[in-house]
Amino acid sequence: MDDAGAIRACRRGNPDAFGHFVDRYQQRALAHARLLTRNDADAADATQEAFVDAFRNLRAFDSSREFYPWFYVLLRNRCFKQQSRRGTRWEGGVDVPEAGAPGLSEEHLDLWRAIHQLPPDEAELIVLKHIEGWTYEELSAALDVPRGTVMSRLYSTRQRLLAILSGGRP
Amino acid sequence: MNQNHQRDDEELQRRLESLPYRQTRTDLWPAVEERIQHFEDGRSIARRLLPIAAMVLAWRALQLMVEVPLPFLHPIVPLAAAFWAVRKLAGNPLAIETSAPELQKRGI
Repeated sequence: MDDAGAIRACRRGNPDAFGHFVDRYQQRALAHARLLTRNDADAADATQEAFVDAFRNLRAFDSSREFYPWFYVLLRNRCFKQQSRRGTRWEGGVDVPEAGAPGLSEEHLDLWRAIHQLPPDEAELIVLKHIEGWTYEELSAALDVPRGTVMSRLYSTRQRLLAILSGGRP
Repeated sequence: MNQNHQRDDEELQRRLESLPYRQTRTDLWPAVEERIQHFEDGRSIARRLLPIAAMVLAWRALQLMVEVPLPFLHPIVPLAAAFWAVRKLAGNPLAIETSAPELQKRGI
C-alpha cells in the first residue's frame, strides 16, 4: 500500500491502515525527534503523540502533498511542547549514539556524534537539508524562516560541523 | 585556502547525503493503535448519538411552537429517545442471551 492508498483507507473508516505510516516513517521521525529533544524517552513520547495528531487531522491533509513534510511540522511542535512542559532546554550536552549501533559504520557514528554536538535547531537544519533532501523553500516554510536566512545558517552550521569533525570546538 | 574550504564543504555535504539513520527496535504502532482506537470509538459514539439528539431537539422545538394534540406523547418521546440511545451504545438490552456458553447450555 502506498501513502495515498493508506489515506483513502483511513478516511473510509479503517484506522488500521494508519499503521502503514507508523511503519514507514517511525525510524526517521524518532531520529528527528531525538535531535530536538536530546533524549530517547522524550523522543518516543513526542513521536507517538505526533502520529496520533496526524491521524486526528488526516481529513484536513491535502493528499496531493507528501506526507512526511506535513507530519514533520506536527512532530516538531510536539517536541517543543515536550521540552517546555519539562522546562528543559539544550545546554550543550552530547547525546552520543552508541558504538555498534546496527547499520552504522564508525565514520557514520562520528558524523552523528558531531551533529549531536550542534544546537538542536542547527542539527535539525543539517538533517532536513542534507539527509532528507528538503529544498530551501520547504525548509523556509516548515521552520518559518526566510529562505536567505536558511541558506546562510546552513553554511555557517556546516562550517561549525567541519570544525567539530577536525577536532575543534563546536 | 578558499578552494580548500569549498572542497571540504562539498565533501561534507556528500557524506551527509549518504548518512543512514540509527535504527532502533522501538515499535510505536501498538501504543498509537490503542490511542487512535479510543479516538475512533469516541467519534463513532458521537455519530451514533447525533440523530437522536437532533430528534429530541426537534421534538422540543415542536412542543414550544405548537399545541401538540396527544399529551401522552410528551413523556413517551424522550423515553423512546433514551431507549434508542442505550441500544445504539450498548446493544439491545431486551435481547435473549445468545452467547456461545448460553447456546451450549441449551444443547445447540
